[in-house]
Amino acid sequence: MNSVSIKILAVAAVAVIAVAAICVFVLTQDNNKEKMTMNASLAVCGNADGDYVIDGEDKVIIQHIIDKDDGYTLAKYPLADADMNGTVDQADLDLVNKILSEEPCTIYHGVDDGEHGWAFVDTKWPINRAATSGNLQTLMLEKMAGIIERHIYGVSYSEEYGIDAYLYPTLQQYLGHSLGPSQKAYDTDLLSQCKTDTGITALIVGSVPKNAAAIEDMGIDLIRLESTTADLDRYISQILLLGFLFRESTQAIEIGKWSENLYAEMQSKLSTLKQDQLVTAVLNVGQTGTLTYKGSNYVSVLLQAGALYPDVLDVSSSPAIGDWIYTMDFDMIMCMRNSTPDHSWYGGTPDYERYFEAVYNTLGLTEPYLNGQVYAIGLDMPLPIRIAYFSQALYPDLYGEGWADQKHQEFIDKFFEEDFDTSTLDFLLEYKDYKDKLTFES
Amino acid sequence: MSQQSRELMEEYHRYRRRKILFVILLSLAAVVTIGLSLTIGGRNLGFFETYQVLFSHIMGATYDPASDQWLDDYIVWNSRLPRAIFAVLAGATLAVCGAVMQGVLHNPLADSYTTGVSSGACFGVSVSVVLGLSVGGGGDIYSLGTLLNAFIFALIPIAFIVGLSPLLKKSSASLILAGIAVSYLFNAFNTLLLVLTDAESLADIYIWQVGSVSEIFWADLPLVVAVCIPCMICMALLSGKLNILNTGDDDARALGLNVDNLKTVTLSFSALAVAVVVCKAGILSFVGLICPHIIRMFIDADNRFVIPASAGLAGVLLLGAEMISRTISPSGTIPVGVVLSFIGAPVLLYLIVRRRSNIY
Repeated sequence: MNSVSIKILAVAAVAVIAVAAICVFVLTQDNNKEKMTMNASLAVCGNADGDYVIDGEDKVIIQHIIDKDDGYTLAKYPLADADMNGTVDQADLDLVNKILSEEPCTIYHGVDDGEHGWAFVDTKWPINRAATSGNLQTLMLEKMAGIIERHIYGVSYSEEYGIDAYLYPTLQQYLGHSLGPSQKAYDTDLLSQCKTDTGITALIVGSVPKNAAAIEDMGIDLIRLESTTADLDRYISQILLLGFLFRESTQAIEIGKWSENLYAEMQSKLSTLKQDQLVTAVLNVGQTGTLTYKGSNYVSVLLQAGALYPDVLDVSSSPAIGDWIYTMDFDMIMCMRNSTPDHSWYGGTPDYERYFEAVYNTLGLTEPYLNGQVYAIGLDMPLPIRIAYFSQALYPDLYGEGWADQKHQEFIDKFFEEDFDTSTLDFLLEYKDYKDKLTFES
Repeated sequence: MSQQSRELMEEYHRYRRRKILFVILLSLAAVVTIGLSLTIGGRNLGFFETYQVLFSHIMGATYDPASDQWLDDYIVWNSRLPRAIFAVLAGATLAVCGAVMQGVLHNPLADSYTTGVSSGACFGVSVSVVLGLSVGGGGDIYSLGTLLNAFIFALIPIAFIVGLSPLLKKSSASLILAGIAVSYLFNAFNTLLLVLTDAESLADIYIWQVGSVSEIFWADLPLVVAVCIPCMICMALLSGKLNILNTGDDDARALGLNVDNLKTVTLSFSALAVAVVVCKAGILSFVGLICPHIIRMFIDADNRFVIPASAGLAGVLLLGAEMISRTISPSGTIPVGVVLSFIGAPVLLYLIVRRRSNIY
């Protein structure tokens, strides 16, 4: 056989194998769903009016749609289709009646994937027992919904962050028994054993794991939360969703209303500021020596607190800090940090040395640092409280000393079971207060 | 035929039978290892209970969905078994490709990592996850677009090596150096991307880079079977020509072998197969490098036996490492790539000390 023939055969063999591979890919992939958009507080199908609860008012709207009354269409009330079959009919009314009478049934709820729009999934309702991701923002959502102590029976966490012993004392029993290698991965074997041992029927996650199909096959519904959202409405909707799924709606609704009032109070004060009074701040999250880019959810918290953010950081990813930082005009440096197993914000042991050292190493020669305008707050706190602390740091004269602590204490007293005292704990670390204790500057 | 010739022939046949038996034993060892691996995992299933579940499944037993028996069956059949099969296939693929690369490039250090194939695939994943640029869309580490990205970028180093081959004056050492240079280049680009990404994506890519077979299911196997097995068969069928190539490029040409074509074909098959494995499981180091060397210590360098024997040994090694990883940490905190490195590094050092220069 001559060389040309061998080459042709080789190319043909590779092409055949490549085509086979492509065929396998195509045949084993699902089609993407169409993108859908909508705006609702409790994103559960059946909540036709999109408010905080499913109630008789939703039944009225559904009946109007069934009767084809003017102004009542599925397009206008997308959540009226309770069973997600594309039409609004008696079956939807029957499902809403089951929900109102708290009968076990399958409900549909939505999550906004951002890039792909809203997606709806089915879940067996109500949920009594679930496992969860150990992500601190996911856990905080669950804590606010009041489901941690009574409904969580397993956690997948990472050794780096652990599970805060002060915020989540009942979850300490799961230390050493993680359901997966990290906050985002869940071992199929261990989950199945957890289901056998505790009867969990759901897993609360911040992002869809690779073995999602296997988890669902095992009869464990995936409840996906937008844990890192900085949009207050979306944040509240996550708490409402959890409250609904676990039949703990009362506290969830109260938190929603309380948060809206707090936010309205802040916006009212911030609206009195003139343009030249607005403060430009930069944000550092994590220890990687970068500044968070403007489009990040973390920066959204700062913007909601009333800050301006440098346009030079309006890029697609966090840029590494370099000499260009000295050409940028900004007034304050903010950082957000997680608790770790050894340093807990609610335990009164934030690692201020490490937080400020990270800022010093990269921004230590900038004017805001030299002026002492550096602040650190915890990522563990509820979103409305984080916004409050940032806002106070940005505009101390607007709020008065201790305002954010006062609001935080009010929140703790109303919605937490633990007795945290904000007068003895420090949730807003000001560089000026810690400067003399820092060892790295010497 | 003289008595001496007859004795020589019989000795040769005995030697050949021993090698065939060696290959068969390694293949059986891989099957036995699959069986043993089914008994290890986070779900409380006893040794005999596991085989009872497996046997019942084969006999067609059904259970109430989500009951304990159903979960036992699901875990053994749908979680542990495909993972074990994939580990054996992946190990076999990497070892066969390593053996072929070492033969073709006349370099004992040749494998998917030193030729830059694994680094190229890794960079493809990073491009997709960090920059969101991929063939067919994606951005999530497990999306179709990310897999295709890894596939395409894994072929680039081989294209470099094959393209540079005529320019490097038939020097195999130069070829492997070119592969290492490409590997470093991709690693540099990869590091640059990772520095710029957020913590969440960084964690995803890091875990994938270290190498893990922990979440492999039946849906992951068709691609591996469709690509890797035919590639391995093709390379096995070329083993005779690889033996001729072992005599040296010039001598092989003198014997009528088209050396350039053979290198192009075998390296292309290797890149294709390795890209698929790397797409699914990340970078699994040492398997492709040390298994052919270990096999050559026992049965010398006849590629007709080295290739299938390496496949069997590598399957046992990778699956064994996965079992060790799962025993130490049922939650999967220790990826199999870490265990492979702990096993492979001392073995490689031993091989270097014991290496016989007449292996090739």
